[in-house]
Amino acid sequence: MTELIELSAIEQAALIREKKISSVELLEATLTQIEKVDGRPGSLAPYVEQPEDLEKVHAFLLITREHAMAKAKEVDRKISSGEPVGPLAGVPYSAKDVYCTKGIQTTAASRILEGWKPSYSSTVIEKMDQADAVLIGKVNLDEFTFGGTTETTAYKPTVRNPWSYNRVPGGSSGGSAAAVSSCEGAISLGTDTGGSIREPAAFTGIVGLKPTYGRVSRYGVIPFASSMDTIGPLTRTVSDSALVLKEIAGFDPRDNCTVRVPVDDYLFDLQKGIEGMRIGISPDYLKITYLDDQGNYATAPVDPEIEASVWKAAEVLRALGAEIIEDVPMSNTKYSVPAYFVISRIEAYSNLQRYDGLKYGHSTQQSVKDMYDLYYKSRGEGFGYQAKLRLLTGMFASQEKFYEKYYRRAQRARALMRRDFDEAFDPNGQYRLDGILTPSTPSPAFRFGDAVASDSLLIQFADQFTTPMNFAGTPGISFPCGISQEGLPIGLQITGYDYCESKILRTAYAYEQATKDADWRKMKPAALR
Amino acid sequence: MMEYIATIGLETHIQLNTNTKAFCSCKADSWGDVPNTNICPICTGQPGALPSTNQAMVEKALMLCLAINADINMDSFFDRKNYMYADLPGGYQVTQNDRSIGRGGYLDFLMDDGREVRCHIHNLHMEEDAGKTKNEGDIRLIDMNRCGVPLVEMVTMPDLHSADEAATYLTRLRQLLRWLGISEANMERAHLRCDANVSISPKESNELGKKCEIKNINSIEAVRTAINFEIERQIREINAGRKIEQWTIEWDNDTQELRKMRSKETAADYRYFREPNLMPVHISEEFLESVKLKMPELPIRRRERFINELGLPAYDASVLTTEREISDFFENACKIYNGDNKRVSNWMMNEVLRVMNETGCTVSELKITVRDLADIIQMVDQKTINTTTGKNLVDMVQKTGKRPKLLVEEQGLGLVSDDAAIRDISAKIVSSNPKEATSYQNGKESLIGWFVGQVMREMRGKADPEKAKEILLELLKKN
Amino acid sequence: MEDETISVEMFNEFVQVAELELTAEESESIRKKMNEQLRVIHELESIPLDDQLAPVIHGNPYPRDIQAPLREDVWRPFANTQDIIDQAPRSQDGYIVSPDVPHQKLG
Repeated sequence: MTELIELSAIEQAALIREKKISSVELLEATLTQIEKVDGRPGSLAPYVEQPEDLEKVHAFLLITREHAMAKAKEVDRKISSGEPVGPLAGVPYSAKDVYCTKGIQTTAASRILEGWKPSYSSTVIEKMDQADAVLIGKVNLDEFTFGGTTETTAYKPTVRNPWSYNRVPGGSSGGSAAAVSSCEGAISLGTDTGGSIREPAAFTGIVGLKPTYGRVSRYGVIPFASSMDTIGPLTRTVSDSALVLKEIAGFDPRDNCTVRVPVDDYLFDLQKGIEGMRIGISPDYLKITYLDDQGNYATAPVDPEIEASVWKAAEVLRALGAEIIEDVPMSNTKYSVPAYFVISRIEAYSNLQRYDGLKYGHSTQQSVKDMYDLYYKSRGEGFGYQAKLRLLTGMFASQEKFYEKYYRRAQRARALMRRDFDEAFDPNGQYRLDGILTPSTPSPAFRFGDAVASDSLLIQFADQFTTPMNFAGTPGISFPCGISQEGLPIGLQITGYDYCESKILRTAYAYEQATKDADWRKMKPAALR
Repeated sequence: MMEYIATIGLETHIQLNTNTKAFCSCKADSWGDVPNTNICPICTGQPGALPSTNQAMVEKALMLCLAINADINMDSFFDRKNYMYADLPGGYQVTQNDRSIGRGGYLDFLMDDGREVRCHIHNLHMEEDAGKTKNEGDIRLIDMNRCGVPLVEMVTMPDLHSADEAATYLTRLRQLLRWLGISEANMERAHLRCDANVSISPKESNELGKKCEIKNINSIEAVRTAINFEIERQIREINAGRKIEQWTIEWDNDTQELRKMRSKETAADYRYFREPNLMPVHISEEFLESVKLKMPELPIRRRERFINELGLPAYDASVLTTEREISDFFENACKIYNGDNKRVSNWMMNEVLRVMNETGCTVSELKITVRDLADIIQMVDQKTINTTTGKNLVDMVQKTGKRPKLLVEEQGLGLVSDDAAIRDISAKIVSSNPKEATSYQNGKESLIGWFVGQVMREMRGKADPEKAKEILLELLKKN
Repeated sequence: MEDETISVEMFNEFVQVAELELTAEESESIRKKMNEQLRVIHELESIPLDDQLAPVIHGNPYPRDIQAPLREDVWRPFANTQDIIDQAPRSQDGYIVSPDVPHQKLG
């Protein structure tokens, strides 16, 4: 039998329900794996790199051993006494440390929240608890999710890519991706505001699902940009993502932006296959578009291995009965870059205003002359570089004198780029698509430091294929589709229309099943070797 | 010396009397609660918490829009007003900036001298309240109980020209709010707060001076005082050859003085943008209709009706439309009494309002019912009791809660109209006061009143004074 | 493209309003970054927007039939109010404590 920890959540839950293993047993196996591969947890203490740090994953900020053990025992008790249990009974999972957990430290990977223990839990954490999943810990991320590499965390050492320790795991849900890919729990909950679930999933060879905005409650999840933040799972299999989504999706009166749209039976729907589905490929998602020095739009090709994998996957889907529609124009997508930038920075700035050193978290120990001085020093000490940069950029862009010029214009550009999606998915339109197949990222995982130091366009625009869905509100799933010659995972994305998670999950699942015996699937991350 | 005219605009913050706060399910009213006990993750700005809009807030704001004839935005938006302060846990206030629920409209009111003033409203928007802070030595104590309480901010045009007009506007607004039942409008409890923009200009000039904003004025008296202080200060400044600068000034009610606020607290740029966590407020036709159905007749309309249809003098109509409950009480009493409405008005103003004043009770706390009042007036009309007894009855009913007819019966308050009894007493009075009888007979006829009084006193008010007078006239003539 | 570089003075003013103490290196580096990013922001101006395009708050539309209804006005007290106050770095008698904010009196 494959090791317990390598099983999918569905398989683990089945074994527990069938009393072949106990929940406690699985928890212990998972904690042992964490001990084996994770190394020391990220901390705010001054960081001095140790040689052993370089060979560890460092996904976790906190292991909630006692809570987890109590929950595992409760599940075992329920099962032995014949009580009904939830679909995720006994399955260990981790949560990105922006999910509020009552009484359990929640950091957003920022010093400004030092020591904070929330008085409440997020809706999704409650739903996972109702599904009888076992929370084993909180995982690292970019500070306030501001980044795509998990390098901006205030908690060091930061997360390393389990496939290649000198590569970033992606971000901002880097801890989630690394934890799942190195079998430290089959599920991790992440957040995605510009690709923060899908990019790290692609970089670590796992599945990452960003649902439609409003499909899953954001209540109790520390925000980045409130009009784009989404909540979703990172898992090793498509079915696991389908199951988790079913458990966490739905209308929540505590999140005004959730919708009263019925939740599909995503897991059941996977079996429907993709016969007759129309999958588009857009030239606008096979190249990087950027402004050159003269201020004109220029393009650059994506990594050739990545582009090749798109066409290969298209063939696989075609063979499964899908219709592949090429040359779908998504030409307004390029406008989402500045518009996304302005709106996300403004919302982020405002969302950071509440951290003041008075109510919770870090408060300066220096002497202060008045309330404002306390703010000034506490925030100066508490926020990291990237948070400061985004806060100030957001302040700049949100000045009242620029309201029409920047904010309103960005809101209108948002409507414009949304048209691309509306037209591509219009059931009476020219394309009538069910999904669009795109690369998740323009390149595989890059090296530490490159996000700042490298001027490679593929790194600078690592989120170009993922931010449009946050801007448009549409769902996207990243799933593994191969290993590069350098031995790094490659991820593809299927994006769909609003609330059509079922279709993109089906597509990713069909691909996963069709390629389950492919050679590349036998390769394992370094952390598991 | 140059004469100046003041121009005043008011921004009023009205605390709505909903059950819960604007965006969370905490109680709206924390009066008397221990600090920081009526709070939750949402109203205290805990990371990750999200707002959800209270339907009752929208409904009550809509009632106010209808009452002041505002244009209603069927789709209005919430915005974030970004600034940092100790009493604002979220770092921004959720409010409505450029697309608020109501725009325009006006409030008409009468000054004591009978002058009618129309104050135009600029806009009316919903927002959340901030918390409370208090100084203790060199620290500030923060109580978040009030954070998130639903407010309507109503901003007037600069249509007011004296502290008096401002105070009267506020009085009328307070009346309207209570009338609509949307706010307790108790200024002492800060249900109704006022910021005043004050500027002055020479009487012959149209040019407005720079305005100063006075914040936190928390009683109608304070509005009058603070505005007068500020007008005087501005005149002093100008007369001293200085320029008025656009300041934000805080009114300190304890010390009765104006204080300039630190410039940082008045930073002009609030970086408004749409609150992405909330849906726009959509008012459907059905919702609007249901709110219209709940709208009571407005005081100004009812006052007109009292004058035109019930035939009340303007003064009576004003007094009897200060509070909706008083007004309803009066009108219902009129219906039962079904006679001269002015007579009911007199009894209302002289007796019922007196009892309320003396006992400090509200209409709903009155023991005397509409039916009781009508009964008392009718008993007086029918001479079952005299007027004095009627007046006393109002107090007795209020004290005992017993019905007036029962009290008359139990205590034998009914008028003695038996000729013989009155005749006996009258004869006794005439014979024991020969001096007065002689004076009367010598032509001092005004003494008849004195004789009637003596008889009434002797009979402890139970005699029908008309009857007594008739008998006395007869007895005195005989002599 | 209009010249709108963020000067040191302008930047320092932002830092003050942002209540954000920066080291000299942070100031220098963040200001430089922001000026680079202005290029991205200015791209907005070249986006062809027709009059039909109304501003949107969210990407996906919210037809009324799926929108969250307004919240019912029913009191539901939060049980753990003390947990909220316990998180404050400084508190006293149930209040959260802040340093004072000085005022200037008007003569």
